Amino acid sequence: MLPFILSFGSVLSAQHKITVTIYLDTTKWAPVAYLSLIPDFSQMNTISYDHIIEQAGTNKDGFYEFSTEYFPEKEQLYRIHFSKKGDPPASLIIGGKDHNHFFLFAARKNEISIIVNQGEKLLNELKFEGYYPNKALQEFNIIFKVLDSLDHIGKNVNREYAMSAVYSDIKEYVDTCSLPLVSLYALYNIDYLEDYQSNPGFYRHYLRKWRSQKSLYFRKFRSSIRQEVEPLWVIGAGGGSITLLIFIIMIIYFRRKKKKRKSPLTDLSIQERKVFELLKQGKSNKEIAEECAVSVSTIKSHVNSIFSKLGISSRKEIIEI
Amino acid sequence: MSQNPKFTVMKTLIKKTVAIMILLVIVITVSSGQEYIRLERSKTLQLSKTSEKKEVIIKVTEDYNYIRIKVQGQVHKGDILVELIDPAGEVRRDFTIKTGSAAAQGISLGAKGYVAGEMERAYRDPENGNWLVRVTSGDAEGQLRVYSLLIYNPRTNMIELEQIEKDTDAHIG
Repeated sequence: MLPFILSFGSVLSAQHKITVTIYLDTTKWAPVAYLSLIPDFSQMNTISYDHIIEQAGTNKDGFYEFSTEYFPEKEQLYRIHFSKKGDPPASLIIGGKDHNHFFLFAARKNEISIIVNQGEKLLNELKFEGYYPNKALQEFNIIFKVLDSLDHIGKNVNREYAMSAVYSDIKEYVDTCSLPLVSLYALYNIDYLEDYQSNPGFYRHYLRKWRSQKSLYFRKFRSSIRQEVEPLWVIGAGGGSITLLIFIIMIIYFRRKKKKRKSPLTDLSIQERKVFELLKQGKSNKEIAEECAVSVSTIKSHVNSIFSKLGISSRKEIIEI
Repeated sequence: MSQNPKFTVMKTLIKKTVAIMILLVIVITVSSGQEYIRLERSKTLQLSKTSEKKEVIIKVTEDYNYIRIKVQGQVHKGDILVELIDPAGEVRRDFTIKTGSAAAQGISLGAKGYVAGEMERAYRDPENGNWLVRVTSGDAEGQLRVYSLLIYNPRTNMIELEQIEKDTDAHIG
């Protein structure tokens, strides 16, 4: 009974929040944590006031808390950062021992605890409790650290070869990770647009695998891939259009040529054409003879010739031509 | 009593040898005191509300076996993209500063009416050639400071480089 009461009590007292346990050196760092919503993985290295959604001072235990009650229902990527004393609240430091931020996934009413172990670096090691995708995120961060450390191996070691090996590890993680957003987060940590050029099959498979994902993160990713593919597509479409245009022009040309060649009028002499035009107007042989100032018999001769050349047998057919 | 001439020559030779050895020890001791050669540079770019690209070139020759680059940006208006590009043209790292609206987020700025971004990278045995820090400004007002530290260490080994890295932490910026 007691465990039930305890667990019931804990449900009642459950607070939906993110708690960050960190002992800041307040001679160097302002005792405030800032929470940013990162709407797009391509903006992970972007700092803007538009991203910051909340700030927190220390609680009674000296730690930092953010309520998750008002968070969007579906999971999103967030960034928590600290600013140095004298720096503005919107302040991002990438690399070095003062690297001042970390990422996490959260959704409405999540309860997440982050314990920061400091060494020489402000954020030396992070331990996540609660929302499980963050543990997967940390697993990936360990792999990514290897990629990051390649800058320190120098040119004596084949950096390209080493990078290719780590890329393979990251892509295997991306391929096997069952959490779509964590998987996509991992993909954004490599130059996937360049990688796409050499391995489009991997990305086609990836897009098919997560085609049911409708989040903004996936929509942006699909859009970026489309933009990468588009130039080729546009060239293809442009090339296709030009081919089609040439084809149409050729058809018109040959049809005209054919028509020209096949047209019976081309076989008529100048005088016969003149007679032909007057016949079309419905004029009689006599009227045509007067207009052309020749004899009626000459006109009859022309008419017979016209009939023969056009393969017709009556004046009515001439009017219909 | 006169000494054997052979013994005298031998004594002189021993004295000279000892003197040379002492000299060598002194030279080695003095030269080991010169740990490494460092070349530190700093450049500030002013951004004055125009859309443009600016570059800071850091030349790396084969003499250097360590480079550390730190870029600090402060933007009051507009936005900037900062890229660190290696001699092969590959973007190694980048970051973006967008001002946005602090008031809309209910954040008190005090006197700090700007947004700050910073990036720091270190490379051992960096590729030779021109390393670039490229800033692309979108109507930005502010400034960008680029620090670079190049080190030539004639007796390169991992332990010494690690010590140099720790030392440079205290110096750069």
